[in-house]
Amino acid sequence: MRGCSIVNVVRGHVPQMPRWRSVGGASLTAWAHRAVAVAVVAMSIAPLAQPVGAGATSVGTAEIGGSRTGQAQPPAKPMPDAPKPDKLFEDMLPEDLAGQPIYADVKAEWDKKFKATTDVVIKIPAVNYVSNGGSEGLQKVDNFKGRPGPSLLWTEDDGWVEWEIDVPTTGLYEITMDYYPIPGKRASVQRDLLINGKLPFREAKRVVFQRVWKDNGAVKKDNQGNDVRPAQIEAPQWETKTIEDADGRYDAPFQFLFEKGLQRLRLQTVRETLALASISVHSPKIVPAYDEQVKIWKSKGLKEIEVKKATLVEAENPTVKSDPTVRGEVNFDALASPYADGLFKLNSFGWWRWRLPGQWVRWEVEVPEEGLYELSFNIWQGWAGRRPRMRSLRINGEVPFREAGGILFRMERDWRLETLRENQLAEGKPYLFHLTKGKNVVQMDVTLGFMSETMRELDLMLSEMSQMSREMLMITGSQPDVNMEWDLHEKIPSLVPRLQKLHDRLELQASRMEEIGRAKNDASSAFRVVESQLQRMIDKPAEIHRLLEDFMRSQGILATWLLNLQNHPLAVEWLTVHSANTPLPRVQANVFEQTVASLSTFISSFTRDYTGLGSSYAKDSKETVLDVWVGRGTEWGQIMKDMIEDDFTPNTGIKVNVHVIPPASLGEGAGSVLLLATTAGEAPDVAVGVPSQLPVDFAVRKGLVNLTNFPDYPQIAKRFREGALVPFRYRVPFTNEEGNWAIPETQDFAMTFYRTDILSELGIKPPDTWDDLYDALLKLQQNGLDFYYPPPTGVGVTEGAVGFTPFLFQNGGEYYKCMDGSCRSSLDTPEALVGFQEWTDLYSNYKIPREANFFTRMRTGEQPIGVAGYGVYIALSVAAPELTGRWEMRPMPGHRCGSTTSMGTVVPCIDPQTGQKLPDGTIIRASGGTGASMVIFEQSKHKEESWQFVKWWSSKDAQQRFGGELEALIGVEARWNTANLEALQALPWPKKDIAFIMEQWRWFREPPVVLGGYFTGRHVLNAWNRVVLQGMNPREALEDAIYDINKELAKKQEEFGVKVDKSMYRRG
Amino acid sequence: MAGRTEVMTSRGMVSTAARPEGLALFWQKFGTSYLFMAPFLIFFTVFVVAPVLTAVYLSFTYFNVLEAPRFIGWSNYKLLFLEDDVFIIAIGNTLTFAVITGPIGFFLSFMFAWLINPLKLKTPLALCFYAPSITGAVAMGVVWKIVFSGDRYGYLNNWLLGIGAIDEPYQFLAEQAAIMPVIMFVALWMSMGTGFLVFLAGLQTVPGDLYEAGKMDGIKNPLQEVWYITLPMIKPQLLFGSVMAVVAGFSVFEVATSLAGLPSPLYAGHTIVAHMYDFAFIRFEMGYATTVAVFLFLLTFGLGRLLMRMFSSKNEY
Repeated sequence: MRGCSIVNVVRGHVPQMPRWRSVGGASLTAWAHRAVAVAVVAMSIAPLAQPVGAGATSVGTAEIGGSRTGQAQPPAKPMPDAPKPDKLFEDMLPEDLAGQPIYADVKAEWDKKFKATTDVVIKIPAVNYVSNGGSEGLQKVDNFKGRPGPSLLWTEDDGWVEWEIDVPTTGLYEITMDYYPIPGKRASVQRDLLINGKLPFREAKRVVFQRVWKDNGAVKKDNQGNDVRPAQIEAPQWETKTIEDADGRYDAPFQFLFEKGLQRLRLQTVRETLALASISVHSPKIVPAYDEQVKIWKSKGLKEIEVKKATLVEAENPTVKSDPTVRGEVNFDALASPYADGLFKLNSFGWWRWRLPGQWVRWEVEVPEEGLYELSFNIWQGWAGRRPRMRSLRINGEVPFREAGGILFRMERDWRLETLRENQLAEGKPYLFHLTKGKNVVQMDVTLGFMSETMRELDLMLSEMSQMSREMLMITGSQPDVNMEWDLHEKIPSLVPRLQKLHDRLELQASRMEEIGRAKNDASSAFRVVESQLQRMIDKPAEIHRLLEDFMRSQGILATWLLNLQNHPLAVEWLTVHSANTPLPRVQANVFEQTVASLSTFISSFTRDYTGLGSSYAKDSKETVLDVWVGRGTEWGQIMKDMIEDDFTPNTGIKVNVHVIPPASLGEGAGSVLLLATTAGEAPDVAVGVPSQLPVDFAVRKGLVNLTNFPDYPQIAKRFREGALVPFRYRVPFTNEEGNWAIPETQDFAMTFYRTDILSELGIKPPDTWDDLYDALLKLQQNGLDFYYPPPTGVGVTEGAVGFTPFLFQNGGEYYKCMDGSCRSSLDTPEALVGFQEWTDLYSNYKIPREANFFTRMRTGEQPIGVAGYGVYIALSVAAPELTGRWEMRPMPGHRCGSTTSMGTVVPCIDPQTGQKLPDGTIIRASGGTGASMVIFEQSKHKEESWQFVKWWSSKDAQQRFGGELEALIGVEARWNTANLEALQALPWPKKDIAFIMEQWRWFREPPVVLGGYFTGRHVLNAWNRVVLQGMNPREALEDAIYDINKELAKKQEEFGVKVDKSMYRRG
Repeated sequence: MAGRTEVMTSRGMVSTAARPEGLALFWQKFGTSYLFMAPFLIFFTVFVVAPVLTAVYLSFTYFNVLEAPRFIGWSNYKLLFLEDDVFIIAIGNTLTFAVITGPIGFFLSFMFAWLINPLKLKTPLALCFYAPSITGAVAMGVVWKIVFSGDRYGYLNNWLLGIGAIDEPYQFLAEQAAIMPVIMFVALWMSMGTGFLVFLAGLQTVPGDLYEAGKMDGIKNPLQEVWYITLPMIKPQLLFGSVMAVVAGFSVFEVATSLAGLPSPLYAGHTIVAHMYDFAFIRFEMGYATTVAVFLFLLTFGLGRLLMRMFSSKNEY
């Protein structure tokens, strides 16, 4: 019963603490205690609304809370975002980074003292670097990929390279690099940029060098007449990049301050590899305004050229683009070109996928002679919200004039023709563009344009608001008694003026957005809602404490807009170059055309085959046709099908029909499609995405092919962790054949997730062992915070990743002991009892919440640390932008082997996975993680071919490509947790995440599946319930469970002809 | 009903087979009637009689779903009645559920139907009461799960914590003592189903002059009116409602599993149907599961007969 007494004291202490208003008699310790708790809660609530944080400031607030006087007096002036900019990059922790000043602030400081330089260009070849570090695999190559002169190849994604630049005058400069993205893991190349060993500002942490992508060849058709999306391949070429913000928050490239003399400039690897030709530090480029530019052009004798007939360039055929996810899409509009006619035709470009700043696409237009032309796009921008969406335009690599840097497309529900013009209004004067004879490159970038200012302001206002709420919460506590008179406006005299200022800043942004977009929009109305909320606080300062919750909610609203304002989708049907009087085709379909188009689409839906994906082949044909069922979404199935058509079928001659089955109906239970299909004799050849408990159940009933029978099974099995194969390995009683019935496809993991800011605030190190965790828990709970461990539910208890399994395996326990093919529960060992006791203690003594939404509580900070799996990892990566850089993932806590447990047993130094001896003091982190698997059905007529398919699909290349394409096409939310070890390391996951996952997987071990094994989960859960909820003694509860488990194991094994020991039916 | 039809058919077949010339006679006499009954009879046979008979057959076999069934005599029944202690829990839970929610649900249905019948907004109100029962039990389970969630932020827990009734969240869906009451509460809330609609319809068929006559004969208050006029007049609807309530009570499953899971903690919410499902689809013992099904069939059938006798409207008014 380790630590229980202390924790109980702490727990018991909290409710007895003096109420806030009966302050007089409170002891000093209780004061300090409460104050720290409030400070931590306040700090932890604030980040909800704070996109990129000011975690560092909370150090100050906690100190204030610690002294008695700090409470009574108005809190000290808000601590400015005062990080440690002088810290060397190497020494920086993730939490320091969030406190780095942003570019806008740094630039403002610089602008006060320095001026942008003019006419300075210092260009050095990249091969003249002065120092480097890490294993970056540098090579000097001459004439690399058509680039004359030497280039520097950075062939490993590791390490750093540093150059020295001799700067002639002190001032502000831009940095431009010529780079070539070396094909790697398909993710964009990222580097940190350091000047003299320091980050100049926070955004320099992520300098993105985009890759260049294109469609692989022309669009093919499947045998249903639908277009097959061409694979996205890299088309690397030399690119010139002026360093700018990766999120498009600034409408001009970054300017850097360089003092006169030798300056060091370093690039440090974040991910991926590239080649560099030259680095140039130069004075900021000045782009003239349109009127000026036209004068320059005309003075050079350029004339407007008459175009008789416009040539349309289909937007779905760009030459290259920055992103494989931005691609041709189907447009069912009546005037689409070419018309889709109810089929899947890639006839337009962009849509929602083309929305994030930095995504660009290039088209080629051809003109017969040099001169000035107009440019028109057939576009659709009908996304809700009446917000204008932004693009910038480059011709042949240059922004032609300033206005082209921020073109806005108003919202309209119909397709329309947008000739680029002044103010982008119907009556504006069309712009002229200078095109040279022959081919010209038109590039369109997503940009934030004028909204970048709004975004930055929003960002600042949010940190101001969270600062204010922290100050207020320090006075009222997190659940203020609303009936008290708090007089917040008097205790914080600056409060009302600051609210007023916020209100005005918000109004400024709202009206600016409306003025430029020439319409009210959803963002400006949302701002106004927050404004009215602020106004209420300003009007009735005495009531502010009642409105605190609204104030928090307002921060949530603004934080959402920080994400939303970044989205600038646009669909393009075609573009064309023309002159003022060229006749252009009509693009807006009339009612009649629209009706006909939708009717014909509807009618054709009756004749089309929607069951399969892509080409489907008749079963009776002479060739081998496999039926593969995929327990995943259509997009997953589609990529798989494309890969099959592209790779598997050409190489093997085996054709495959892919059917997508809703994942839920592949599992066990009445809805199991596999069960029903097998009973009816209609089973597929192969099923992938099958839950891992299912194979053994089907195997004992002769439903599956034993993969051990294939001679090359052992080689294939080496692709996975030994422990991942355990659930599929079973000796079938009646034939007594040891079988492996499935191959793992994906694999989950249980990891520790924690909030770096809160933990460092409380001085807690991420725990390595459970003992560390129990210590940390004490500190957390004193501060009203808690730890999360997933609650036991149903079969999940024995699923491996969480629940009982880690405690059992880490203590050296086992679920079953099997002899001569007959298994019985081995939970009656002392190791199992220790594990069970520890697991139940977590709830009954440490009183961690039995049920909670970890993701939400991680965001609010209530549970700043917890153990969770893949789902939480994805959610934190994708859905919690405000937490970026404030959370980390580490392997799960373990048990130090050789240490004595609370029950007096010693944790054995034996690897639970291999059974080998381990050095003393190794931390055993054994846990499992269910994933999906793939199986071959006994009913299949093509078992050999099915095995070929399984081998191909589980191979490194297929898994890597699938994982890469999936993440590229759908995004991080579809990050593929393949079970293939080599493939996982080759996928574009962040390097450190992979390293930690691999460390956890070193201990990967799934519980075995045996006949009747479902009773183990069921009765361990019952035992948990008896101990935690009914207060039963763990030993007794576990004994009851063992009796029930053994009874079922015996019964099920006898059913399949295993001789069992009759004592299994007896208790004890 | 099923039994009677079967008997008649077979008797007819036997008699006609002996005297072929009688077939024409039989056809002449009953042909049209059978023709009219044919659609129902065919569907009834295929979708009710055949499955029941198959189930009875399977209950005497060992059938693991994927392989062909094997005949094993009475052993499933022996196991069910003599050795299966979880089945006893299931029967206990089901009976508790049926005995409590059956009558209460029945009574509530009648009461609400009677209360809203004279109102102007009858139809929208009826829809309000009826809506929960047509919404799937699983969907309802999700809704109520939030209310009864063991999280600090579950509605009920949050409220109870707020007023200070408890100091840590209570596990409504995991505590052995709480599971059945929660299930019964949700089931009652959903019980305004077909029975309720039938009562409502029945109430409208009672002729108004009966009430007038009743008044003349000395009925003083609405309760007397209900007891002496309304109830006797809607006896057929009451019969139907009670049979529905009993069947619903004994076949409770989705509400229980969507709230408490399958299997529920310590089998606290285990019902007969849940037991059947457990064996059929988790343990793949379809033979045994059908044994449970046959038992459940006989139980509800018997209770149905009993109720029919109780509420039988023969030889009255």
